[in-house]
Amino acid sequence: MLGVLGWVLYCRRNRARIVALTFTIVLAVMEVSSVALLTGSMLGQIRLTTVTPFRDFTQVVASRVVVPTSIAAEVASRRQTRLMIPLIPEVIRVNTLVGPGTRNVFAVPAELMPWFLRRLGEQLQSGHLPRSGAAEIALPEQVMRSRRLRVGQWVGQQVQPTEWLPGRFRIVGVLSGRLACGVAPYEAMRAVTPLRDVPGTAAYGVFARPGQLHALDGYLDTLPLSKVRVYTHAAEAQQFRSEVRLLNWLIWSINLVTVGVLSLAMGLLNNLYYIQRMEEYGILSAMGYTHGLLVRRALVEVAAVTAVAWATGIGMTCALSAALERFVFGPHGIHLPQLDAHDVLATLPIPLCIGTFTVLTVLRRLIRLDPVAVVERRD
Amino acid sequence: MAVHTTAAVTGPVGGSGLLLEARHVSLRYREGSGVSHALHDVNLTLCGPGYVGIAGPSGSGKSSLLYVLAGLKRPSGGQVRALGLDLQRLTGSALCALRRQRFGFVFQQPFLIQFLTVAENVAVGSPRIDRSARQRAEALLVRLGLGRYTGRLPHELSGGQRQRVAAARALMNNPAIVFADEPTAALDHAAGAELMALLHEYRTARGALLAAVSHDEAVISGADAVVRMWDGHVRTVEPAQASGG
Repeated sequence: MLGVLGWVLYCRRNRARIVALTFTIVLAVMEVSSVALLTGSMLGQIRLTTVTPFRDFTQVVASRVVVPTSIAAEVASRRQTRLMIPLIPEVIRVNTLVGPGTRNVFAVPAELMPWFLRRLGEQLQSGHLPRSGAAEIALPEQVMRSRRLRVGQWVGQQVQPTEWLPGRFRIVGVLSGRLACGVAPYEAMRAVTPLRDVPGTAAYGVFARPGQLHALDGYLDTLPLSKVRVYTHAAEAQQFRSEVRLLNWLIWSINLVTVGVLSLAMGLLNNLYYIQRMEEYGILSAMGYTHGLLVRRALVEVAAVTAVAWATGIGMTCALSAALERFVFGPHGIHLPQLDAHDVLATLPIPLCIGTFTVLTVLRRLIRLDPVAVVERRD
Repeated sequence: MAVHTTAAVTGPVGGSGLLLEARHVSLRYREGSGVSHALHDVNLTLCGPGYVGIAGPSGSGKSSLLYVLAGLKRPSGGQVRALGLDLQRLTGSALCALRRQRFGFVFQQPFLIQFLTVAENVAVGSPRIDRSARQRAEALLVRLGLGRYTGRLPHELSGGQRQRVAAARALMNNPAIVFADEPTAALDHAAGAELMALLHEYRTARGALLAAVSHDEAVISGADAVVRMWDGHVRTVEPAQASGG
């Protein structure tokens, strides 16, 4: 726009100032984005176990011991129901970035296992699927790596008392996929649960026909709570949201305080810089540069520096988390998630607030700029 | 006392075009609860190219007169015409355009932009800053004997050199009128003389009007006409034709 009066030249020739501003903004962006990332990671782990599986099927669990056969028959006969399979939901321990967590292990009939995994988007990466009736298990890669497990090893409470998975299972396969869940044969899992001697089925996975999930869930929700508890995706997602609302509110409050304090500090710093530059603006005004042009110049400078600093902060956070994933956490099998759009969004108030605060304070000075006061050194 | 002086100053070069005119110009400041008068009913006509010195003691209104004539201050009353334009009728941006395209300014301090090189500082005086402006700035600096310093930053120059750079910046747009407010006040005698010689050379070569405020009689003595201010009034105009009224 103005060549020698453009922001690029200003930044190049005033590196100390720009570095100070950029460094502060970068730190703030890294702090807020890291908090968002870690929180997102923590909540993501919980969501992965409690909400995500129910995108693909709805879980019907007995309120008391077993699901009444009449209800099971009624659900199976619905036209929206594609398939209903007996299922035992269990969990296995996994090491995550924020400490020990869990991953689902679904015990399903061995003959339905390939179909079940396809529906969940999971693939067998190595080894083979557990065989019918055998105390075998296929685990997600994430669990294997984070606990440094090998195919052929045994897992379960009988092997390690701190384990959540009941019984004792030999690892025969490694799975990969978005759900990061494991599978075991239904009969083998049932044999190690307290219900092994009770006739009937304690839980079912109900799969809807294409486009019928909503209708099926609507029907399942009408089933008597005294008989069964229904885990639909909508209900679980709703419950998850309500449970994390307070946590989210807390995190956003901390972020807002950070952003507020930082904006104030940066605004004052910028203001100080502009006070020091009032001679420059004053002489330009005296020479005939319009107020509009000078204001635009200041705005572009503030916007450019803030935007570049923000982008640098995002870039550095990405680079840092990628490096940590690759060199620190990855080798230990701990997955460090990368910044996503939500995390980036969480940092947006930083440049916006700093920009707004700076613009308001600097703008006030520039609008009231009297070139004569400046050249007479009365300003 | 209301001194009402009508002064017509015509430069020796012989131009007859009206360059600056002040009619019944007054300038008042709000000062605390009262009002301070910087200019009282000033009437002044400056025609043709030449050098007009504006002299007077501190607080006499000489700088205020310069700022009003240059469109840097709006008068509280009266009319100012510059290059045929009524400054009161101009919008803010039109007034800025006039200053940027037709006027040059040299102040007591050079007010160079600290992070720009000498050539860039001079280029800033161009009505349009582009690559050719920088080339013209460098050429101008060479002509003014500052060719060695084009890439230097202002803090690397002496006070006199900085003021000459400021003068070069003022001349960058080939102004019809150069306004100088105590241009030599911060310089030693030699540097001041050098600066004034530079400005005189320009206004002679270009047929421009140089209007300079100064305490320094040595600076004023070279003027074609001297406007002497006293307490906000034009007290005398010498040695050009003047008619009191």
